[in-house]
Amino acid sequence: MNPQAFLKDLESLVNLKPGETIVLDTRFREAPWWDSMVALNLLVLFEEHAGKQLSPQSLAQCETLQDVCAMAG
Amino acid sequence: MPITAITTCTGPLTVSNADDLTGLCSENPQQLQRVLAMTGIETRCIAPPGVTTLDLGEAAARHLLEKTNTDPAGIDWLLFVTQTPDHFQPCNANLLHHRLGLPKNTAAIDLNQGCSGWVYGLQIAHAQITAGARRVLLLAGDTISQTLHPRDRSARPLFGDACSATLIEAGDDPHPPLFHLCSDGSGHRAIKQPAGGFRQPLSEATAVESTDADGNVRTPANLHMNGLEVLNFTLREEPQAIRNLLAQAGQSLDELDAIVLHQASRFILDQLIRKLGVPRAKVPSEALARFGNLSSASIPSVLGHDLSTQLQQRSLRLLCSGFGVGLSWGSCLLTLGPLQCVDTFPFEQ
Repeated sequence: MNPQAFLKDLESLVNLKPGETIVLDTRFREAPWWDSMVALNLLVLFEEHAGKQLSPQSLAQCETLQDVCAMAG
Repeated sequence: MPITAITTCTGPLTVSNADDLTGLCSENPQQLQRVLAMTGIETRCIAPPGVTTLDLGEAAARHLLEKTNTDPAGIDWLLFVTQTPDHFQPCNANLLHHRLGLPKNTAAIDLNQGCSGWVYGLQIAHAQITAGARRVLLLAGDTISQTLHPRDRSARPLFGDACSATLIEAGDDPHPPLFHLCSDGSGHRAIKQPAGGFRQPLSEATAVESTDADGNVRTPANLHMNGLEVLNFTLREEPQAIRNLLAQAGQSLDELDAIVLHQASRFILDQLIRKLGVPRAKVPSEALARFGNLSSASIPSVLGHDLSTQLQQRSLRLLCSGFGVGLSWGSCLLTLGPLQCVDTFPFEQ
């Protein structure tokens, strides 16, 4: 999994304010763009990039997007 | 197992999702647009309080019997798939048996199943025909909107109300249907109406509202749906189940005229289309935009709305697949049509 490509695709899915970026250290649940619809898209995006599913239980253990990328193994 | 007719009676009220959600998303207009895009639902057909699945089912059954000029006395089995019956006891099938004036030698039973319910019901109908029944009348539907909290914006934009009726008759069938039914009860929490049964009877405590992190309000008596769990289950199980059934039949997706999936939401359908690698045009979904997610009446609504004209004129090779509460999923390969009756119509009060 390429974390930068993953972040780029995630950025295209959310409405970022001017100057706002998404980085690996972003604590996504605290971000203004985070909601249940982004969470659904994140699971799909993870599968596309990692080639395997990310379970909701695993996602619940993640605090940052780095944690999410690490789930790809 | 020839299927001779399919009809779906939809809830009489048409609710615009954009209008209905404006109040719920008033603080965030962009969120409203995203909800509308992800659901793919423009309007939902709603049954108001006092109109139940049984009422919709009776209208569907009467319409079907009239259109096919079928003598009710010739119906050997009445199956009613629903999770929103009039009562715990007696079951909807017995109540409809009385309303339709069916003979005493008609067997009547309910099946408690949701979005996979039409496929499950069809398999049981097929088994009864194989065992010697002449005609089976299969009802499948729910009034899920009546189980939702008005301020649950995760589920409220999805569900409409409807009940379908399908007539299955004995006769020569050069292309007998093939079924693949599955369950995983370990996922029972993903879609659940916790209170109102005997485990957690209705009480003052079950009327207490709680608000989740996304601002959705529910009580234990309301339907709760965990969108992440449902998505995870659907993408894990559905594509493989469909491929297993096709392999069992020695067929490919290319050989099908259409793939009729449970109309869960635009987002779920798009993900399944992507994982199956099929053209979007091969997976009809106009019924979703017009009626919403109709639980076990969802697949029949596609047959009666999106594919009605074709199914009146010729036979189609179809794969139908439902998935949802339970967790439960079921697929069938069947050759359908030309049908005597294949339509949808709104309930008239």
